[in-house]
Amino acid sequence: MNKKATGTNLENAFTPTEEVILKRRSVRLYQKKQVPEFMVKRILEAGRFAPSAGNAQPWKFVVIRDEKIISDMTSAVVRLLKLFRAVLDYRRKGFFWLRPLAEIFIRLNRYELHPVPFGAVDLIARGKLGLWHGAPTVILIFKDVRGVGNPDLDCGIAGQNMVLAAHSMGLGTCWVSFAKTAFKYSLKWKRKFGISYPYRFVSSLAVGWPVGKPDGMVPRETHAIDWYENGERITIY
Amino acid sequence: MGRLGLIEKLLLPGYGNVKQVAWARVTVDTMRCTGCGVCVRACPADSIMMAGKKACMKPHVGDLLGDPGISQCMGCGDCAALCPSGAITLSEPYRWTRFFKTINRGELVSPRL
Repeated sequence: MNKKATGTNLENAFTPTEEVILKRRSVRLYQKKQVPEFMVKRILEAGRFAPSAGNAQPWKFVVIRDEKIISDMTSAVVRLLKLFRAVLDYRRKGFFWLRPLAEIFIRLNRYELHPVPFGAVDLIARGKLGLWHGAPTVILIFKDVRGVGNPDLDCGIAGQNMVLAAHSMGLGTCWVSFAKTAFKYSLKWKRKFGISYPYRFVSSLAVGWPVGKPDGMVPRETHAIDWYENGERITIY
Repeated sequence: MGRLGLIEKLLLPGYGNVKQVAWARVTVDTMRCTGCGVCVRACPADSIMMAGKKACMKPHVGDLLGDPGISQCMGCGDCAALCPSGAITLSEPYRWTRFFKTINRGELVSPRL
């Protein structure tokens, strides 16, 4: 790369946007204090202006600020995850015979039953981890399956726009996809939110005031990047 | 976890393999730890506990007080970012085993300019 003097201090400091991106940490400990309404509306505006394939904007946001709905949904998900854990966790004492059965399930549904998310299934089922970690505001993201190309990706872009907007205001957020079980395995919550064709659950965001200051730069592993220039290929990290 | 061949499907990791479940090691500097316990409350994987008045990572092996979910650390770095005295460091994240061998990664690096 040829470094040009641009007259700004771009080479010496991160821009404010970059700082928000680099300092963003998934917050998993929230204060009980509710988020002001105008902030949530501003976050939704950031989602509204996200890019999408063919400008299809294939998303639907549902904001939940009702404590009762959040706790009811949490307990519904906990019940379902308890069921999953009962069928799948062979690490408990005396449950070795579950192993062959669990391994068949893992192979049938290897994306959702990967060991790492399963660790969270275990923790949520035992009540050691809240579904939305006690956040007072939850934004559910649904995709319109008729969207152009890959609506899941468009919802992800809109969601990350919202996350970065929230962090720039000092709020904390966390992506939570475990709520999917409530929509996938029971009709109750679909009916409650009026979700039917063409909408399908993608993910949800917990939004709230973090306890302490979790936003900060932490080290992270580098990834191999192939770089083609001047007729040759180099790999940088 | 893209397309897997038949052999790879057969060799998918299970939950008994700690290497697949715990993805990082949390090290607490006991000289700097004030014992406020904010990391224990924040840890989404329930893998930090208070030992005496200092935080420490739950052991990787053994059945801890009948707790089956031993050290399910996913290396999110929340504890390190949250610690008010900067006592926590994460090391050896993602000990890639066979299953993830195609992912080419380097060292842990802070954001670079």
